[in-house]
Amino acid sequence: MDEATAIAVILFVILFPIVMTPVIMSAGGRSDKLRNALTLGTSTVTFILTISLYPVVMNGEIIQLTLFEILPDLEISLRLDILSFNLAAIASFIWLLCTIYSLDYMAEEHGGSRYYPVLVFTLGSCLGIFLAGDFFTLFVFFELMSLISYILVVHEETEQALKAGYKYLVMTIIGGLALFLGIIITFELGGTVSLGVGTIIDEVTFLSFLAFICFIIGFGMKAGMFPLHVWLPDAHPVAPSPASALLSGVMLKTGAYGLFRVIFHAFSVEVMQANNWDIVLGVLAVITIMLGSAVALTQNDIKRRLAYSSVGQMGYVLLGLSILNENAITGAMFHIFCHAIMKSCLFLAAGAIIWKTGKRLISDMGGVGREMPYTLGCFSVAALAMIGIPPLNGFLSKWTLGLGALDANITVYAIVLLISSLLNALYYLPIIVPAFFEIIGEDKGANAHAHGHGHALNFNVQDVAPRMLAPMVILAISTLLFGLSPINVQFELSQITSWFFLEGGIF
Amino acid sequence: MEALAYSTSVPLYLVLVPMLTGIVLYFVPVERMVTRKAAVLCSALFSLGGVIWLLPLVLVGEVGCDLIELMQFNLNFRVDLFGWIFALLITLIWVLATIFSFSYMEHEHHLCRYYSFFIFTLGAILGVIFAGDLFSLFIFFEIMTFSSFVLVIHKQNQEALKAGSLYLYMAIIGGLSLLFAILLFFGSAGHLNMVPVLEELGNQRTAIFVLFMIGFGIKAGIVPLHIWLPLAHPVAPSPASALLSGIMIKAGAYGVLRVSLILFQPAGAGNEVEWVYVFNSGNILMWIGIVTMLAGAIMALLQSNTKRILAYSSISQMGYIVTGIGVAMLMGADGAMGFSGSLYHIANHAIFKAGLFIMIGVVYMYTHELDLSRLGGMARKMPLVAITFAIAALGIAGIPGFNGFASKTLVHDALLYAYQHHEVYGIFVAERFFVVTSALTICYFLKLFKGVFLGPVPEDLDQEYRIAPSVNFVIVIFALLVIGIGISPNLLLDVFILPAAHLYDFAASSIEYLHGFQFFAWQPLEAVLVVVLLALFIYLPAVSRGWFEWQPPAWLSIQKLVFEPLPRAVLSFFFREVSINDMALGQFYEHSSSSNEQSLIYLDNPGQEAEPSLDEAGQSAYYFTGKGLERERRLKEQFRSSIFWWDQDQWNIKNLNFDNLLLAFVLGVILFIVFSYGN
Repeated sequence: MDEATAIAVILFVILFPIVMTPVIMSAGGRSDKLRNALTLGTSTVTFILTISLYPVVMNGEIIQLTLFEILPDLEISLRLDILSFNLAAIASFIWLLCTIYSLDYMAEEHGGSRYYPVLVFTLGSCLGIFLAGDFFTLFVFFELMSLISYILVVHEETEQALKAGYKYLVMTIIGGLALFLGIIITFELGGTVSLGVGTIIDEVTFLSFLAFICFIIGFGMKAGMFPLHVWLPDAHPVAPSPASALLSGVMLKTGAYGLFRVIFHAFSVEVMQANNWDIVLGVLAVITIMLGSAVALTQNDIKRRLAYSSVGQMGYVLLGLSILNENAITGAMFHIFCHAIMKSCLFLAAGAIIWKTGKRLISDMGGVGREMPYTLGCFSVAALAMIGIPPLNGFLSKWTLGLGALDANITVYAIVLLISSLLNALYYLPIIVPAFFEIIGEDKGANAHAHGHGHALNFNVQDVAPRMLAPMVILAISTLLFGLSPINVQFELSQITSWFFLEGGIF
Repeated sequence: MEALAYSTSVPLYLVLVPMLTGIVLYFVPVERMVTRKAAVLCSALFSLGGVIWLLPLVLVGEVGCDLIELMQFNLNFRVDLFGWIFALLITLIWVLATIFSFSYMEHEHHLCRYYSFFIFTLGAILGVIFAGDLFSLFIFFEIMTFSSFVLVIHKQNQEALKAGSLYLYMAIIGGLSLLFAILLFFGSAGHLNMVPVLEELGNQRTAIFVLFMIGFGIKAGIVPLHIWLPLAHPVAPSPASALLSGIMIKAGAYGVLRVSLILFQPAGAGNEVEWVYVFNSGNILMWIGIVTMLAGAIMALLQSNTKRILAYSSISQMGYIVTGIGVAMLMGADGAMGFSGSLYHIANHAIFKAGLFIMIGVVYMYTHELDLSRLGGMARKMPLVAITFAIAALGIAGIPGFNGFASKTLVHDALLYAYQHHEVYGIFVAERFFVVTSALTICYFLKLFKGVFLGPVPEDLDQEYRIAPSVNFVIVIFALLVIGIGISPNLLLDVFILPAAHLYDFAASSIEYLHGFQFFAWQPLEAVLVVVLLALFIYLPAVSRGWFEWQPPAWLSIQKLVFEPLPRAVLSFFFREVSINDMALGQFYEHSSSSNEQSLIYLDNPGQEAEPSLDEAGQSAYYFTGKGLERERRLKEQFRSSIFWWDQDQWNIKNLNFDNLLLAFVLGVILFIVFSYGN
């Protein structure tokens, strides 16, 4: 694929979903089937085209293209490098699966003609963030995505959803303003905000520190970093489950992506380490991990528990970013992949449980695994990956991050990772174990011989519809595949990313 | 990594075939029970055959294979003679337990799940034994934990679930500390091979050693990490208990052996400082073993549930093994005797403990009774079971002519030898504790045998029992193994164990000394005589006074002393602070526009939106967040009041009458003589 084609593809994957939005919207008025088909087609095409950029990236090419200038030196531009590709690929992959899942999930819900166009539009703007060539373009798409996804958050239109949505909106605007301030300062100090020029700010002044703080607030808010995470556990659970999966699985990653760009493009590793800014990030990450994991334990609503777990897991990524050595960056990048897969699988499975049984509370979920063995099977695999049980992918990311922490001689970080794993076990296992093994509605102390084959797992029972099941199964298999497989594409991409940033080249 | 004598992928197949059988069988329809049983048996026999097939290769040197890169690391399989002995025991006992399962599980539920996980676990544990580096070992260790969890909670009643979750959480903590140890190890040594690396570990070596010991020690059930074991082993179905107690805790012992006798040895000649370090670590390990064996034996004496006695007995026997390892470690190059003793005891314990669990399982299978007070007279109803049980019990008691005698003699002599060599008084005391524990072992087996097989038959159990031939076959095999090893103790020692000792850095002279070791000389027999006399001195008065029925007050258990209050205190602080902060933060954002007053009020009065129906972990976490304050204070008061134990009814000093006191005094004098004799 030559460069011109690649540029065309990049432009296409950003613009195509955005252009398709009004089409899907108008189709929604006529026929539900047409609307669903168009949505599915859009995400499929986007996914395939995004993946087709793989050879370009693996050739070590960096595409940086200015589309047009708004003001002198302030331009709209595109960029494709290894990091952009990683994020865009995983985002479009999860998006495709969530779209398939939505087809049945949303069939009985209201407001489908609003839901699908928004879903597709956020896909376009999300890819826009990942493929933006400078901070200004990134900011434009960031705001677009944040504001449009508000519609996904308040989809249920309940009082709770509206309240959570309001909180989300206010926080987003605060974050956006902080980001804007950061970009202005960067522009003032460096004269450009392009990602193509290497380090923009290498002089450390009060202003540049302010810019760093602003970026941390702006992107950290999106990534659910303490103390800006408060919107997350409210907003993610109220959305419809496929949208929660996207919010938690993909949209959180835009914050982490932004921090990658800030650390390696606006500043540099040397600036970060010379001024101990990495410790600022590290402390915030440790608090985020501990807080997310500990508070998740106190939640009884399954989706809230998952949302708090997301807070903790994003802390891992931030921790990797604060350690800044090869293993840690690899781990952080790989954990972005892992968490996208695991958490969307968990949210989709939780959504399927709620959809089928109407149970939201974990305390009611005893024995639900016998009703829906496949769904709970997927949930268990993803949850075990989350705890970090080998040979699933979560173990690999935890291992790599732990090695990174020890390479940097910060044993505390490794201990934090392990304690957090223990807490993960403490809040995931009480969902899985009773779901499969608890016997409900009988004298529990009774003689075991009284239970016949009635409580055996029966794979002929009516689980959820196949179109809901397929995405979960694919994600659950992915957790195993990207942990065990000898040719682990995701891990290689993560390693290449870390070489790219730390040594300035792919090979 | 050392060069391989022979490269073969048989170890890989031995691991993969049982695992794949388990996975495939899970999806075979429930009705196809004959197919399922045949497949499980074939798979187990395949492993046994494969292991035997490996013997000629293993006798030449280390064999194994490297897989292509999995999980970004090489997954290695290495089999040396030492691992091979474990593998043989595992597969042999697995085959016997499989045959026993066919009859035992006939009337049980969930057979599909049981057989799948049963055979899957075989693959996982073989993976642990065959793993060529720490990374592969860790992966299989975790897989083994999770697949055996399903066997533990097979009954799915409240008791099983509770025991299972304790097992699971302890195992996860163990797994995490193992992971941390491996991470630190990798950080300092730069590789994960199992070779002596003591010098390279630098100042982190104590941390690494402790973490390894916690990780493997939880699986091995060493005190004070044993609390899951007496709960989890008895609730599993008997064939599974046999495997848990006979085999699976040996995976922990295997890890302890590998870590202390390979990793924590100096790579070269080693200087004085390192040998002192090794001596001290070995000394501590030995004392952990002594405490484990003594505590396990005392607790076993006080139980009335047959399977719990056996479970505590397992803890006690693990103490013997750990003591042997500790002695081998502190003796450095002369440690061959301790090493052989513990390896021999691992083999013996696997045989007689699996056998004992299966024999008790036979009794349970026909009577559905596990309580000693409601059993009795079974010798008349099931004579063959009684005979084989007696043989296995004589084995565990270390009577000459039965297998436990050889290994106990070796560990005992290793202790004596270490005392002569180092002249450390502590080792002498340890040796005396060893003698007392051996006496207590005889006591609790007398109690167990008498309770189950002697005395009058309870009315409701008074019927004819027709025991299936396959069951008879299994228990007779176990009895024959016990007697066979017991009669010719040197055979196993010379053919397998001493060549295995050559793999370690032991001096050739210390290994040569053990060739043709005189087991039936006067000195070992005299030691057994002392033990038996001591056992009678303890048993006869104790049983007439009912001392074995004494229930220790609940607060005295290690669970109440350490494992409940400690995490509770840590977690309560942690959750309360974190959750309050999080809620307050949320409130702060919400109210900051109107007034901060409300959030301040909230900070002052947290946890008002309690949800009543959380799961267990969530609940405990929740009440720490707010309501827990008061609850905690109450608990603390309760705990404090229970400290004054003489106020409690369970054990009152006033109840001790003069006879008892006198007897206790006499017993004390005897123990005193035992302890000072020969010093």
